[in-house]
Amino acid sequence: MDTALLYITVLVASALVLLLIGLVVAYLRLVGKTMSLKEERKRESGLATIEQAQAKAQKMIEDARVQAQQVISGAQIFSSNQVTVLEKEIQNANRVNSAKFEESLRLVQNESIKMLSNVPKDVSATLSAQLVNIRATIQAEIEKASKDAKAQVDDAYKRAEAEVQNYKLQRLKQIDDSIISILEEVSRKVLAKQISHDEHEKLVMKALEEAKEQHVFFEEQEEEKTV
Amino acid sequence: MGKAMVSDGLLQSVKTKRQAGILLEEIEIIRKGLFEAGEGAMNSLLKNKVRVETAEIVRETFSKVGVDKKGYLDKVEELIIKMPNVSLILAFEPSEGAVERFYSEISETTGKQVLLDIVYEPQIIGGAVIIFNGRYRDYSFKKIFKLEFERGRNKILNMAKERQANVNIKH
Repeated sequence: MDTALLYITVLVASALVLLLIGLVVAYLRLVGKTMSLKEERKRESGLATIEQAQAKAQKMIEDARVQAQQVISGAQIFSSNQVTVLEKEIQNANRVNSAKFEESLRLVQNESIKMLSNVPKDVSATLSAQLVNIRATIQAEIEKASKDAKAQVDDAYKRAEAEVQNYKLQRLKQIDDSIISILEEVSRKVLAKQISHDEHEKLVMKALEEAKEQHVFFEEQEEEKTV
Repeated sequence: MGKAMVSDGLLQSVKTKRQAGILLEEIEIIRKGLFEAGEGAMNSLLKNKVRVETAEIVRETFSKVGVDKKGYLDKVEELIIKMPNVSLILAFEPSEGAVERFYSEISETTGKQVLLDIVYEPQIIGGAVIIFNGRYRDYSFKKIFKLEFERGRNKILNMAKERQANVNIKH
């Protein structure tokens, strides 16, 4: 309603302005026409007519000016009356709008409070679910780590056991070799002492006979001949 | 001057590499003596610088008419150097007689004069290792001994361990 009143006021003011513009345009045309008539009368050598027309035009202009003055002053009066009305309407509108805004704000606030009051429950539910997942994951990781560690320890133990076994075997072999070596040396010395010069010589002669049988003393050429 | 001419002389006295080395040194001394003036100088040299056996053979050879002394010495040297070597690694130090018997056996087998290179190596226990013309044959006791020990290794070790166990029980 207030807005309509405002529009009407603006419309009326615009009409008055247009009318004033129309009068000014008509006055200008009239002046132009007067001037042309004056020129014409001058040309026709009618000074009286010119004066008459001039007076007429003067009157018309005066009338138009008076009318325009009246329109303008009327418009000013209407405007000043409406200012207070407009102010009141604006104040009313402001009041109504602020009331609606406050209402809306309250509604939003209530909704927000409701939402916020629901947030902890959601968070709690989500967190619980997440915690369950995390717990399960951690437990699985702990179990996996435990298995890995056990497997590593087992491997290390097996390796160490194998190394110990290997070392043990090596040492035993070394001991065996040492025993054999000592026995060999002792036996060799005993045996060497037991062999007389004659027996040595016989053994060498026997070796030479064996070599002869195996053709060790044959020259390459002789071998070729025999072949 | 053929091989036959020298075969009954100096070469017969050489049976080992060591003997060959000594003879080559003597030949070198005598060869140098050939250039010294006078019969007395050669006699003195043969009397004082070389072995009796060598001196006798050389003196006898040089006494023959028209003999080429230097040629003779050169030929002996050449034949010694060309003699094939037979290495004998023995567990004992053989007597002269033993060396002669080994030499006879080998030269009879090869059909030619050889030089014995005798090496004393008690580690081989008994028997001999023979190296000839790039061939190596081990007829030593050491080889047999090793084989026997290797074959009876486990048995020997078990015996040793049993013995050790018995000693521990007693203690």
